Amino acid sequence: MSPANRLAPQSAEEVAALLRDAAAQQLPIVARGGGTHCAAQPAVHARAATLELRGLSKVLAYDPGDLTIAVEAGCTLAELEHVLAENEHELALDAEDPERATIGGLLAADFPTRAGAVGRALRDQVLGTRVAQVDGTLTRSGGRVVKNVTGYDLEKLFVGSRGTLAVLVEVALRVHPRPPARAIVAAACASFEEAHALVLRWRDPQPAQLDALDGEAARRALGDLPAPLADARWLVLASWRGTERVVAAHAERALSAASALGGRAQRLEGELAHRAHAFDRAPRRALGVADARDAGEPGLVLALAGRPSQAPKVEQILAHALERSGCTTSARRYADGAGARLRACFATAPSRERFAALLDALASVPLTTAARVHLESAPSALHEELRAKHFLALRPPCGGLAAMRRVRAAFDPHGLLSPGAWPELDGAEPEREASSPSETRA
Amino acid sequence: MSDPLVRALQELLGPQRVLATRGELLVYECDGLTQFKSAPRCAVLPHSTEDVQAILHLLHRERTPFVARGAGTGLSGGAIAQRDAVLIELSRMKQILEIDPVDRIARVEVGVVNAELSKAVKPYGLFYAPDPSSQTACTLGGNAAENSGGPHCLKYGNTTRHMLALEVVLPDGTRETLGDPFAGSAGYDLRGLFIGSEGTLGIATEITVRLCPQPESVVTLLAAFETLDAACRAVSDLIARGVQASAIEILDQRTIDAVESSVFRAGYPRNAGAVLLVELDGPAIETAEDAERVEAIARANHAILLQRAADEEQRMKLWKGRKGAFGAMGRVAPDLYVQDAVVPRTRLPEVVRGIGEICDKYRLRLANVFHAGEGNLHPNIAYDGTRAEEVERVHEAGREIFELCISVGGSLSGEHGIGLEKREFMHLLYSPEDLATFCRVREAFDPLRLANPEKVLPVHACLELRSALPSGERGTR
Ligand SMILES: Cc1cc2nc3c(=O)[nH]c(=O)nc-3n(C[C@H](O)[C@H](O)[C@H](O)COP(=O)(O)OP(=O)(O)OC[C@H]3O[C@@H](n4cnc5c(N)ncnc54)[C@H](O)[C@@H]3O)c2cc1C
Repeated sequence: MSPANRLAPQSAEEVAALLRDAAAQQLPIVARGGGTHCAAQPAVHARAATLELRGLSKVLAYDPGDLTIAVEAGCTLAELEHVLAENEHELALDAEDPERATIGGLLAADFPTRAGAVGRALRDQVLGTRVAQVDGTLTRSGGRVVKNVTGYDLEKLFVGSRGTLAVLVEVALRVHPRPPARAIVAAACASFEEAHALVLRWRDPQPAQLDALDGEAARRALGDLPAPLADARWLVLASWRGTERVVAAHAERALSAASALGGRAQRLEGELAHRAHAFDRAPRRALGVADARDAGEPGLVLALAGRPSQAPKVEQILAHALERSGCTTSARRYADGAGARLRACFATAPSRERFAALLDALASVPLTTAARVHLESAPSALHEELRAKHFLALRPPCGGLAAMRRVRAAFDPHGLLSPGAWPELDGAEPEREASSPSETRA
Repeated sequence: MSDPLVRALQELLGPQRVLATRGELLVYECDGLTQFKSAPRCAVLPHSTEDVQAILHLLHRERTPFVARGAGTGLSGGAIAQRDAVLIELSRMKQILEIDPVDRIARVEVGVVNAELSKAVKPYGLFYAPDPSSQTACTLGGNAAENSGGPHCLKYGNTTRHMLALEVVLPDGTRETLGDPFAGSAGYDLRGLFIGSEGTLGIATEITVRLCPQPESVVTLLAAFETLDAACRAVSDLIARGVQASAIEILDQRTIDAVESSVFRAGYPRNAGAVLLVELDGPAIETAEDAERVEAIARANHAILLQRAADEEQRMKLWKGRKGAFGAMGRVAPDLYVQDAVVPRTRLPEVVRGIGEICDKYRLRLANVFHAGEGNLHPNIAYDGTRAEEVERVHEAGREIFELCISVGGSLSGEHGIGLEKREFMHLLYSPEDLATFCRVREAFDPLRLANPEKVLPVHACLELRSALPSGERGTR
């Protein structure tokens, strides 16, 4: 097997056989789905072989009456959405680029999803998995039923493991009925505090989308806004799904809640609703942050995650850090859901020096606000900086590092699978070559 | 007291918190599954995470196995300790440490009783969603260990969706925080692995849970059918049509009989072959729409009676029958064997029929009360544990029921766990390689296999499964 090899197995058994061969030669292996995952990616190991999983794209069992589906891991999200649309079903999985993103890649990356932001976490969608292990064995955990506590919940381990434990070859997922209608409302707020208060009000009943955008982000995502919304410092967007009657009622209620708080709000219709929906489906694109695909270099997105109640404090910290470092965002976005996430998006990445200063400023974020900095995507020029400042690291207060290492070793004793994806979990630090930007993985 | 280990534990915790006499240990002989009985070497009562750490340090040094226990309501024998093991009773750790109504979380010690938490957060308009029928007794630690479910987990999901972070003590006495309620993913989801691991990876001592807002409206419907089959078909239809109920439960005729003759009387029609209890919650406008759909589907499946609870009192009464069903059936026979298999919801009618036939074949008295909306069956077999021949028939029927459920794509357990009871059936579902993987994960946490060693995985799985199965156990699929 030559190092430059891109392997393209067509079945689970072929994946297993290739892994067995690679392991016998102590060759590192990196699984790759659609290559859409633009988070800060470590350099790919010099000798690593890439396992292209797009060939595993069969739907194995779709049981519409049971609301479950089992698929091979190389299926793209779009392929699945197409199958499910027949029965007005959908998945609580989403990606900016559903034509390329594969199910296996989405799960392994555990990138924050919009479904996850409103209570349908990715990891809770998985009913069972079949994986190819590094020694070439194929194993299962979980099953295809919607409730199951038989054996350890290894599915949870594989979600977010970035391919470091085993290669996902099959996945069983929950399927959801697709509600027929949607209503989107927007409110203009004069400050982040006001927007934050409204976000807390609009949490109930559970919306399908709940986002606050700073003025610049709002203009980028929605274009020209009608008069009552035009001069918003922060714009709060929320949508509800259900039957026509139900969503109309929710929208009405949201509007009166907003006006009770002194905000100006309206239901979005026509082109504006369309754009708000497009933003929801692909927020990075709507905010002008490049995909890895577009320019070959992904844009920069930093997220501060923490307690919803602390969001105003976290917003101040971010504003302060930006100011001190001289970095200018093109969009700021606040989403509530499984924790609060405040994102700073940069259409043009800051210089290395400024970026370093920003990281320093953020590194001093007091832990009492329980905010953690996540890098959702970064151009390769900034990777060095990130690595130097340990931003790729699992930093405290992340618990269980020692146990994670042992779990890694239980699956992959020689650290051959995706070395560098979680550098802290690799055994001996593998040698690396310079980072190659196009080698991002899904 | 001559056992040196007991003396060492007494020195650690004080004499009152170590129980070692036969009389004291009697209550720990079994949990909610009464078929298996065994008294532990001794029982200890920690009051804090530090206590648990000190105990596990000692036991690790002494290479002594241990078993955690919450309230002992488990139905798979998980909290039973074999003779050489120390039982660690966590029910004294019952403080609610923090309630945050804005962030909608609570931090609790593991001994907090499930229902107590919902009671404590009610004034804030919040509740803790997973609601096992045993919720007035079982502990949140036990819920974590079993990944427990309950009627409303149809909408809200099992325990794992609601526990955001765990403070745990690993078998070597080290303390770890697994998961973070807000910060998003960082590394492997060890929290998710730990939940449902039935006390075999360590002991949880503190839990941060998600709290849900109380729904604006709740509608509870009762639909009665002439046959159990018709009720099952209605459930298959409800799911396939995408009705998003918060709970869908079935009680069959024998269960209705037992309930209606007990203190849990709910007013279920005694002439029905089965009743379906459907609950909807959410904004009033939504539940009103959905209630009409539920009623239409019930009618299409020939419901003989349809009833909507008019007020909270009626609602509670309808649920009282369901939640008290096990208790009521306890009156009918000296012993009760409760199974917990799950099947695809499209296969409910045929599987429930099949289970009836199996029990007929073995001349056993069967009653069904189950989480139909999730395909989670609870066939209850009444028997007399003093009659060995009858116990044998129960065992045989149990195995056939599992085989039936697995043959249609089902699973062994939806919420009660594998414990001692079902580990011999794990081969029906998993290959030797699958089981060996579970073993390796277990060893990553507990290389000496001290934590609840006899549970979940077949006895010899970790030692020999990779090469060959021990004789007498089942082969691969
Ligand atoms: C009448 C009745 C109705 C029931 N209804 C339901 C139901 O609707 N849904 C459902 O899911 N279950 C149900 N159960 C089963 C049982 O109540 C649950 O499994 C419950 O979660 C057990 O909690 P416990 O505190 O009693 O745990 P125990 O029985 O004491 O222990 C259960 C397991 O958890 C382990 N354990 C306990 N605490 C810890 C800890 N802190 N750390 C690590 N491991 C620990 C034990 O070692 C054991 O393996 C019912 C039981 C009864 C008797």
